[in-house]
Amino acid sequence: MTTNNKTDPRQALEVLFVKDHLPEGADAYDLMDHMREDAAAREHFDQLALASRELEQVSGEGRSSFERSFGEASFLGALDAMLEEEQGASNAAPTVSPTIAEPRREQRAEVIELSTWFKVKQAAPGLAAAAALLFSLLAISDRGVQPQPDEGFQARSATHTTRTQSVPAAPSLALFCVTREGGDGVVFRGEREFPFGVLACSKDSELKLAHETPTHRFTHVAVFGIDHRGELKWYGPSPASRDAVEVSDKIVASKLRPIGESIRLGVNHEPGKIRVHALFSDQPLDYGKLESLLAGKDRGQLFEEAQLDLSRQGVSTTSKTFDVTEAAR
Amino acid sequence: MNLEDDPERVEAFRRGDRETLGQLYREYVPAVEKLLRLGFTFTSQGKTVRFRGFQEPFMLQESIQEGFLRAFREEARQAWNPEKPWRPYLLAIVRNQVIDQFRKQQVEQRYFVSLARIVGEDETEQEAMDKLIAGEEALASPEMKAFQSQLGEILGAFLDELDEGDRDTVRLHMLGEMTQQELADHLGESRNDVRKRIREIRSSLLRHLKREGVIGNLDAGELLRDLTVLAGVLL
Repeated sequence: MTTNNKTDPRQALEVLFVKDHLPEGADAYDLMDHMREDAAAREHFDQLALASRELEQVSGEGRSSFERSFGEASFLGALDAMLEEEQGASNAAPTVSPTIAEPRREQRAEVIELSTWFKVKQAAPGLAAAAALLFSLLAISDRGVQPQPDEGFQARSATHTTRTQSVPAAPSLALFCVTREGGDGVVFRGEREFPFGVLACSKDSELKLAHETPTHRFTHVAVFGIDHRGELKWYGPSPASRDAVEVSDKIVASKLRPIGESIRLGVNHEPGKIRVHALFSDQPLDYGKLESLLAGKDRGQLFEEAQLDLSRQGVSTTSKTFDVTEAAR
Repeated sequence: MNLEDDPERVEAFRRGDRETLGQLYREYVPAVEKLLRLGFTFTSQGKTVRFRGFQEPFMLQESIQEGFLRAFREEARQAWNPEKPWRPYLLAIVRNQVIDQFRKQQVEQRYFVSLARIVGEDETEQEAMDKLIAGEEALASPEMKAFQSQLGEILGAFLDELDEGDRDTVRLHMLGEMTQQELADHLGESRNDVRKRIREIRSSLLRHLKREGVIGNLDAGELLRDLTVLAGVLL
């Protein structure tokens, strides 16, 4: 599973507060470590924890479930680090290899996902990934799109993939609302301009897609959207333009590669959430191929799941969601 | 079953078996949390000192973690005598960690009170101690107490504004004992609807807290305003 290598700690904590798990790419141990150095993040943790105590009526009686689940996951991370250090020091056993360490990291995530925040007995399938995408961020400044090292904490698993993945990780998507404001004025607004990092584009605007420069040399990309009703939107290739789309050579704002033309949302989009899936491959992905890859997939699943399991077909996927809102005028 | 009562677990503990250590954490974390939250009294250089406990969530979190890590280190695992109960051993390690921090002044001194300074005339140390412990809720920082008070009011207002279904969800499921399925049956909805309802409530709560200014806002103003620089390239 692809992970983002920068996660805003405060947003990660908010995801935990709302969804009972941390977003993808965020690890409780790393986050705890980060908070030791970041007073603002610590304060945010305290505020959310006190709000949880108040809501769960444990004020004065102990920690809230928010703190307990985070604490255990963080502790397990620290324990792993300590045991690895001991093993390394004593040479009594080989140091834990990344292939072992990674499942442990996943276990720590499960501690949070399976914890009973507000007594929620089971997380909805795909929720973790969906929330992660909801809050995943591109570091964007007002001078363009740039990495912002001070804003995020480095998740150690950032470049890792899950045990089951056999294809290189897909690069992150970047979504922008494009509005044309009289004359030739064109305004791009990225995810971070919106509350909770969820892009909201009005029906009379356009959607522009881009992706970060992949670490693997993918040659082709295919992008489609799906709304909560299960209606597919073919962004490219499409029934009208069936040819495979090559990964652009053009790099903008240091790291983004644009995908195709901007999409007019007034054409076939209705207000509501849309999930945008991007498929990356070393092989051409024309419309026929894209259809065959999606054949048999449940539409609800396509909407809910942040990643599609197409690794056997040599395809790596990623996705993001955005909201379409009523036309502004 | 206590650790010392199970020879296999003792052996696993001593060799640093990760699963065993994780289980022990889960079993004993309430006791450690209580100790670190409610505080304890100790003697340092002949003086009686009261550690008033950590109320701030992060401080408490960090101290719990550090305490367990100390108790799980190789030397601590090997130093424990399995013929004696492990729980007091663990709690002693946690206490010593706090005392070390006090001596090295690694923790703010407001968490500690020297008894000699607060004993009044005609008062024994024990009486002063009892009084101190009785009023120990005052150990939270004024900022934290103000925050909690403000929070209580705002949460009350939030709950009042919920519709009947959401209020039932909070009352019966979040604060009550009802399972999601039981709540779904009660509301005449699917379990999926209930899940969505819960997520929405949490999300609304967070927005509400931010609107009211009790939870720090992410500074959207610092973020992207105008990407026109990309216009010529992306379109």
